[in-house]
Amino acid sequence: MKFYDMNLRGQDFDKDLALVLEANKFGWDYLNLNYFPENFDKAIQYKDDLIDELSSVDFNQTYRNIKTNFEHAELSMGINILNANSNEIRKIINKYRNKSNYISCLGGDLKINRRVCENHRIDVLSRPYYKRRDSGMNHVLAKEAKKNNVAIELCFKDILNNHLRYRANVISSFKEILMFHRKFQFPLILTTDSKILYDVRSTRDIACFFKSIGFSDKEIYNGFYYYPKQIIDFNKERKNMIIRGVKLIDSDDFTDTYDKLESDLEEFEGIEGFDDDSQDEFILDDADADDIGGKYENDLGEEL
Amino acid sequence: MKLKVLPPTLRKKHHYLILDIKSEVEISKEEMLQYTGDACIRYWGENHSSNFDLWVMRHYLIDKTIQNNEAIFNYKTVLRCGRSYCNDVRVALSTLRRYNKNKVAINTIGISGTIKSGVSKFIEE
Repeated sequence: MKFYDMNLRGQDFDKDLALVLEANKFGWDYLNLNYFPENFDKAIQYKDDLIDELSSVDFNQTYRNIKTNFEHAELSMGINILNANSNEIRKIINKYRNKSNYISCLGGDLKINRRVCENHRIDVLSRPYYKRRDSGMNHVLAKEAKKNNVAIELCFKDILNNHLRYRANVISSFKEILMFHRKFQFPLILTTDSKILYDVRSTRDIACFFKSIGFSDKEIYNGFYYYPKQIIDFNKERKNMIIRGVKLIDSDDFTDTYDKLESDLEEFEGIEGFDDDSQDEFILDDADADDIGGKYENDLGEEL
Repeated sequence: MKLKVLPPTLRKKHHYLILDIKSEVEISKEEMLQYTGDACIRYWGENHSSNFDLWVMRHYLIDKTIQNNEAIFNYKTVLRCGRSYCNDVRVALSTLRRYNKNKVAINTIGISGTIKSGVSKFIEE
């Protein structure tokens, strides 16, 4: 399984580089840096430098598994719209839709949540529960999100930054949105929203967290890989979409067998190396040494 | 008088988590135990945390770097936990971000059945 993080908070070259290196170290396969619209053009200029720096990292300095994660993370850049009304959102989308492969909009306000769910030109509604006591979603928004293929984003950072009653409130919102997702089947993506080094967590830790609050293996797989990949693939083809359901294709691409039109995106089929048993790759062969007469140590390091 | 050591079948079964820790300030082995215990009790509550059987076995300072005029201490630690509660412990540790107003990040980089093999595979390499 691959892990896509679609929401890293981009700032400037040095901070982005430190953030990307750290995320790459802990096993993320695809990293999407999000910027404010006014910073996006500046960020695009140093994208190639970031990729060069990332590809020059020594593989042995990372915690990546050589068998499964044998390549460094891919990198892309997107736009995150904050604190805008519906008019401003429309203007930003008109300006940046063709330049960026990923546009998300911060939710929280009910009008914005509704406006974003109804707009098929936006990819993601980010954190609809932001600064709210409820989840910010209902059955109407869920149906609209499904209809317009707008993904809803849940951020792990909200768990890190909130404590006690507030953290419980966020987890409750996650569970409510998950309930809507199970009924209405809108795309649900899981991200970290990391801004500094201390926000980055390993992929397995975050997957275990979402599992602990009630997500199934399939939902975690879809949230980290299937839906993000679908968004990326869809946006690569977006220029050729004339209207919904109609795509312009070159004569070279057209075949009678439709072989070339099939996507390589795999649906969840109980992938190996993902269940609890997948810990085997971390647990060493002598994990059961205690059953066959291995050595013991007490708290003081003395052998028993 | 010391208690007699339990026979192997009656002893608790353990696994060892290998942790990668980044912190703004220096962390001693005793403080590390507080960090982990506090994170587990805060996330899972007192009842469930009682199963974890946490203890810090090894604690190494790997390096100290400076980024943006801020020191970052990098440690690697071997943490003992109950055999069927590894995932619960790693979840609790990953939700810890601040302790005593200092930023800290704890990631689990591996699980091992013995201390020796965990150290040789994840720390000494």
